[in-house]
Amino acid sequence: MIEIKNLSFRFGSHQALRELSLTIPEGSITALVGPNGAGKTTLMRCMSALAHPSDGQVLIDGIDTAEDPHACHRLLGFLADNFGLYEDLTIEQALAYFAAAHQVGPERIDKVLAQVNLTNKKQEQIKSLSRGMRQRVGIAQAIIHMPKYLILDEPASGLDPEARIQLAELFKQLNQEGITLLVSSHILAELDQYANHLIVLKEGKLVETDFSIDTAAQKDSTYFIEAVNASLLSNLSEPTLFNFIANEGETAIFSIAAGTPPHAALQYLLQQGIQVRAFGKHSVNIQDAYLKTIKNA
Amino acid sequence: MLANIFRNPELKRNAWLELKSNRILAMLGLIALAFVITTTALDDNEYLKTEVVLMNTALFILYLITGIWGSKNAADAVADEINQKTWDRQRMSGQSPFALTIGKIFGPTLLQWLGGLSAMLVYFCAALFSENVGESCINGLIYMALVLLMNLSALLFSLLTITGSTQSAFSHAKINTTLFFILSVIGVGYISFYLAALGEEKGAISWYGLIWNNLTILISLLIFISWSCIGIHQNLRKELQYRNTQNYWLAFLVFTGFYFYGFTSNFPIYSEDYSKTTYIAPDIYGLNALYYHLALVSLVFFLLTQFLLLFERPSENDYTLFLQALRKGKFKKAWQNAPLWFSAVSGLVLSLLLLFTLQISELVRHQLPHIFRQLEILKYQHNFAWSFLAMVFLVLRDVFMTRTLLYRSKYKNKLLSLALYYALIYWAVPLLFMIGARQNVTAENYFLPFFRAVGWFSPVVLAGQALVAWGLQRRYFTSHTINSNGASDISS
Repeated sequence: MIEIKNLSFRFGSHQALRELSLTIPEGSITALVGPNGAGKTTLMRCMSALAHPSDGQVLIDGIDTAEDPHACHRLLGFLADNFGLYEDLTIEQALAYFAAAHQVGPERIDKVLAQVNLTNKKQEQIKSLSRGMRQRVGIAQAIIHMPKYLILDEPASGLDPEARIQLAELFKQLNQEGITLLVSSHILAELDQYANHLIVLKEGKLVETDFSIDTAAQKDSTYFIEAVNASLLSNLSEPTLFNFIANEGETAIFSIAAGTPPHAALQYLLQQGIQVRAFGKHSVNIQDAYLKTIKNA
Repeated sequence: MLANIFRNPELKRNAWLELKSNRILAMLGLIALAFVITTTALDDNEYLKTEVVLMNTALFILYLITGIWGSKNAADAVADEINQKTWDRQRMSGQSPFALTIGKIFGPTLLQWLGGLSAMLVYFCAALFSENVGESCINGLIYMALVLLMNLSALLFSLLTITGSTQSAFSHAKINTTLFFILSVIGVGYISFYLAALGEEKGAISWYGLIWNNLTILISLLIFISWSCIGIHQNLRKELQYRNTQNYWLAFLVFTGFYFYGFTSNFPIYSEDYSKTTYIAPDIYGLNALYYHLALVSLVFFLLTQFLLLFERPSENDYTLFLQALRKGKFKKAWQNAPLWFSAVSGLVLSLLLLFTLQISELVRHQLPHIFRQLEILKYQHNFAWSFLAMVFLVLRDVFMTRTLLYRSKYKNKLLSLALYYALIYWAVPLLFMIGARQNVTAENYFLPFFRAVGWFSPVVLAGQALVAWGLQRRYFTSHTINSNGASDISS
């Protein structure tokens, strides 16, 4: 688990982070979002034990980054927005270099190449690769030492749609393999594909958000119904079929009980006289949560 | 240990990049061509023997390829990584500071050293046929040491300005190392010309009475090479986020004081009308000699402070941590985060205190040889406190001004502003005073109160200057936001 306690960071008279406290749960894919200049990169650098906070603590599995940055580095992988690649080396040389620097055996190189799907490109020079592939090399470099946490700063910027989809798949795959990911991005729709935890920063401060792993987990069971008399839904109670969540004008949001097919719930609602105009899955997405959070902040 | 050096990841990476067969062949081909051209061209010259031509050509190649080209690469070793945004990866990679130091010293100059060493192989073969084999061989080693020192200084100068955990990591501006490269080439180049001149005039220099020869020069160079390596290692330790104290730096300051102290007897001291020149040893002795030794050591510390003020760039965050720790009384932490110039200033203040304590010593007055009674500094013994204060205010003024000017947004602006400041304060204004030829107002009193005892007016004027500089710094820092790479943006 990554724990941040009262973290502050100053550049001269400018305060980039202000008494920030938050937790990144183990096993999550956390999206870090916020307007430009909100302090996302500074926060990521402090978490990666690359910058010393002016005040406060960052604890990686209980280890203070200021006290033992090297132990933290063993647990962390970090990918900056520019990927940090040695352009003139081949992929294999670059990975061999970082494997040696991390004192990891060379057998790890082939595994990582397979993980990022670059095995057949390993002899190519990095400068000859497309942006999507370069980014994969960056990730391979960051995970060569099998970190528990992977921190990625704007990993999808400049990627074409196909590369973004592949990237989302890679993140999910890495997460399934046990890596906790923290991803900052401006492209909220893309974060929605894999993130299950959200942190919103504004002017160096944490903004409270109601998006969490729990809400993300509800994604598959949450539906909306649009009806003239949608407000009636709040009075209907049938916990074996559905649970009312919220009502906004002519739209009501509810979750369907486990094991209940959606059409059964719809049929029940029609029988109760709800004049349905539209019905479908309700997207609990990061974009909505972010916009709502920023608006309320 | 040797096996570890060959397994060094940074050396390996550089070998992959630098030692490609086509580059090696081109390098060796060019060197061979240079030897062929010089030996053929000077074949008919009856004054120059072939071995001398070969040796001189080898030295020229060593200077050009390993010295100049290698120093450029050395200056860029870390700067390029920061510019290409690969440095963070290195900082997180788990390499030891020692491994990284070896890698950064020799990695970027592998090809250049291959060229230089090939040329020096010819040099040493030719030296076997020279008139004085031993001396030629030591000379060859001296020039190799000089070239290595040139490479190391280039790397050290650039590291001094770019290290600091936050600054290098956040930097968005491209770092240009041309200045550090030029400084190292000119600085070490100057030393080599000086050494060459020494070679012509044997026995000209003594160090604590020991007459210098080629061997002592070589040993001295090796000592400075070791210090440079320690400096690079300490800087890289800081980048890799190991806790540094300033103990090594203090040891270096003590060493510099001790080292330069040994040379002071070579400096001529002129009588008031410049008609008579004398040397500390054997003409001046006892505490009088000590006074001049200390004055020179103070000057060395003063120059070191000025150098560090200009080139050392601790990040604003480090500076904040340093001040915070000082305020909270956490002196160990403050010591770890203190900028290096802080120690240099401390050394300067200490040596000045010793100097001025000595200045008022009655012993000095009684032991004065005739020639010293003419020296102005001793006429104003009672004003020693003013001289001391003047010096402290002068250094404070420069600390505030350089801090203000260095945090400008554009690199060229920083350099231009600093060049203008130093030209103005140390050259133009004193010159104006001299031209004005005002009675009782000596330019040195207000701008360089170093070897001169001064009246109360001097510290007052310098305190005023320091106050203005402090005000400027305060105003600049509150009206500008220091961005992540240490440059400033005007805050909205």
